[in-house]
Amino acid sequence: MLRGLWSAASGMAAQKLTIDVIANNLANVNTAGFKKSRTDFQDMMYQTISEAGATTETGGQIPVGIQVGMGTMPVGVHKVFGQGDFEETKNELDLAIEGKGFFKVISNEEEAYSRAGNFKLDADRNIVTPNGDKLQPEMTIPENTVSISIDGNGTVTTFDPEGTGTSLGAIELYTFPNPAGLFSQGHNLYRATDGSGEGVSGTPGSDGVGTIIQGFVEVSNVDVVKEMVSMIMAQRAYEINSKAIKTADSMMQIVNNISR
Amino acid sequence: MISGSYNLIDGSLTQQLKFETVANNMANMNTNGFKKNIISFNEALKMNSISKIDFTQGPVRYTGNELDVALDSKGFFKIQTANGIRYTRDGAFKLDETGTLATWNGDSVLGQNGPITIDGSKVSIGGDGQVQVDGESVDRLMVVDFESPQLLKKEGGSCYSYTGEENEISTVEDVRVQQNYLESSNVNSTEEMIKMIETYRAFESVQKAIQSIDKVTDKIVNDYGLVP
Repeated sequence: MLRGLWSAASGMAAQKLTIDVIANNLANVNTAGFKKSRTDFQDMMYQTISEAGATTETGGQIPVGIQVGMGTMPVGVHKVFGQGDFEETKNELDLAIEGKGFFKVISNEEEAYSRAGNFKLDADRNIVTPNGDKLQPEMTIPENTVSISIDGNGTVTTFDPEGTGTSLGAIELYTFPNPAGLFSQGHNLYRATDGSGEGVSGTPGSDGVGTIIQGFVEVSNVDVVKEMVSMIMAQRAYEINSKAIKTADSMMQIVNNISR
Repeated sequence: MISGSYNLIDGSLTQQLKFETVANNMANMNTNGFKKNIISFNEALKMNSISKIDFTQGPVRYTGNELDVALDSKGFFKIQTANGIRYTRDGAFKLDETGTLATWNGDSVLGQNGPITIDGSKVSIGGDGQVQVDGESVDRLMVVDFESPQLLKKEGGSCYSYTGEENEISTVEDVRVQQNYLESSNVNSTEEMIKMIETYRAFESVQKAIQSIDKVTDKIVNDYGLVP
């Protein structure tokens, strides 16, 4: 009896994890550059009670064996890096990436990557994230700049009141062999891991890293309807597993009542 | 003791096995590519039961993730694990740190020419399993089928191993692969719920039967011997 009880418990734990992930997705439905997460499950190991193809006492062959499973297990909660929608902001430091690349920033003296392009200027006129992490390569906007133009290839040009342009260099984007293996550190930042591989730099507009669009931010790629459907599925699966636990409990009660 | 009660104990053990199978199916209601087990009995209330894997197609749902592939036909993906070749219907793939197509356990997914390395930005997987990276054909996903699918053994981790002969494994020519989709579990909650109730009630009747036998035995032992 206990096997079934534990299978059902693993089912409940799995659905709880799904709900946790969905809740986080829904909470970030308006977070710039947010990528939704997804849980993936696999079945746990099986206990083989009789092996298919084994010889029986009478010399025949068992055509079909008996295997009892031990429930389900989560194998991964991973980010789905589908493109989010673009929202026009007309803010000249709002940059959206159309494609697979990431911005690189330095956060707490460590390299981190981000899709959120809602950049700001700090007191020293460096381009930074809303948390103050500097965009790489570092760029300082000169004084008396009236406008900043950033083209699709990431080239940053500033204009002074006379209309003279100064090029500050280009923003680089980074891609990963396996972006789903990136570690989410919160604050819209990701860190490279052994699973994701090293970030490969590229020039926006070529090298397959995507292009930069100025004046837009990429909004979250969470689809509320889809999340709701997943939530219903998870909740019902949770419910049915709780029924299995209840049944297991009643069955054990029956066993206990055989002799009174 | 009346021998009937031993049959009944056998019966309750079978019901227990059935319940455990149902509970495992329910736990895997949202496991990608999961195939449910069905327990059936040769004879009522006998331990001669068989557990079959039901390989019917599970519903295919859209995920929008380009490394998710659903098999909308018979067959299995072939993967290379540390313990040898295994088979799976779970098409939730990823790239490992070297850019090789792998399952979530990190096992390489095999194409016609071995592991598939993806080096580029745009991956497209055609209906026949042809993998193209940036418009260039790389390899074709290996999809195989078995002469006797009942010899497939579930290993957990959505993997199967084949316990039959090597020459019974054939490549499926007529495959339908759908990129951006995943095959869901083929567990039907209504069916499992009914099976669970059925099992529960059968278990309950076994208890009642054991109690009646006990009462009869009680009468024989305690009442028949009494001199009125």
